[in-house]
Amino acid sequence: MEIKIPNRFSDNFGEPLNYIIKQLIIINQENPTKLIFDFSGSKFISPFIIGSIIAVTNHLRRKGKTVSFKVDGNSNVTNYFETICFPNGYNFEGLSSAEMNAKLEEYGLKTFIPLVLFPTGANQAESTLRENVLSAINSILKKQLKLEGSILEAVYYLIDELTNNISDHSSSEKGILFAQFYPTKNYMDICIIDYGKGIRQTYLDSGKANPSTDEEAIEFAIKGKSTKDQSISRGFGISTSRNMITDGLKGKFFIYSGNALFYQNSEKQEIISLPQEANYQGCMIALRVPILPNSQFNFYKYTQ
Amino acid sequence: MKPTKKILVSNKEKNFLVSREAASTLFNELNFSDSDFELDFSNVEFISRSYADQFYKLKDDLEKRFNTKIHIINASEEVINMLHVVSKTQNLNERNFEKIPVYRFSKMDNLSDYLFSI
Repeated sequence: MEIKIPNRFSDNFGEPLNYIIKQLIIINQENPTKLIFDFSGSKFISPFIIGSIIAVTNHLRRKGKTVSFKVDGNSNVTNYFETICFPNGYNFEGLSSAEMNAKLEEYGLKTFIPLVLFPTGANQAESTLRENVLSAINSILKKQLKLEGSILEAVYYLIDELTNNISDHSSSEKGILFAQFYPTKNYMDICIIDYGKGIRQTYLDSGKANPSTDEEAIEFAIKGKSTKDQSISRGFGISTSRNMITDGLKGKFFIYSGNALFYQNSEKQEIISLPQEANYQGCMIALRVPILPNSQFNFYKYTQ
Repeated sequence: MKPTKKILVSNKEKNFLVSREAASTLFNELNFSDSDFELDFSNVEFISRSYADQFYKLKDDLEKRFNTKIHIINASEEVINMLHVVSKTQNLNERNFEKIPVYRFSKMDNLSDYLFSI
């Protein structure tokens, strides 16, 4: 089975998300043993597409399927993939924090970060590696965004909280982080995705809640219902993040897990119940963060 | 889990639902004791603020009283927006609980329209 990635996607936030859901429906319906993602006609690829293709690829490979990528001499895509380290992500293994910062310095002049597949284990080695990787990514973002203060803090906070969710809850082998900054459009698209057990299963396994559907599970998560024993005030990190991004920064927040998705902007928030065949087993978060100096935004108003 | 019954909110093409009574009539015809419901807004082009307000109040009340679930499916962007507007004008305590509407689309085209609108 072959999936052709379109030439380009428009600025529309929902267009790549619609594309992802449509392709997942096809993959779920056909259940192919071999899958090829064909980028030979692609020019501009949304970070949401990149993140979700990596997650789906890793998920299918774990199930014994064969997944490959076709570029057919498309030098634009070949060069881009090389620079972002697609599909395996930047190799951070064995690098100290200082070495990471030095090696990643070149990305400070670009408008994207390298593809990051971060470890999710709770042991000391993986926790330290994860912390060092995220610290290095924050350094890149600071150089790229050329911002100080509250908005930069917010970007750090969002990436930290939402990647921690994956480590804490998803049981995913790796978490995936990818981001693209659009300086002329003054926003950044961030994709944080895992191929773990999904939000509903996380609640069921915790024994702390028993959501009967994926939409109910997403509602629990966005309202901050905790899966943890010790604290009722800690949730998924999703509840604070979504308010910060939508109410504080006037951005867009999208989350997709199982057969449900949630969307919020400064005007509205909605849960959409999806057809069974649109099931995504892990959890995908897509953010559009306006990157503009905003003296009205108070970072601390949105942290718990 | 209760079985789910699908109800077409309007049989007419491009229907406009404007009165509180229309919303009440819709819910009066449903038996909540033995099933959940999917209310299909496929043919509805517009709902008034009054209709939306009554719809929202009754849906909320009946879901609580009968421990039932009422899903809204195939609503247009305009219908969704009006329901959203009235949800913000309900009583303060409920607003504090931040009720989040759930929508469903039975056609992929409608889901795509929604995603392109966000």
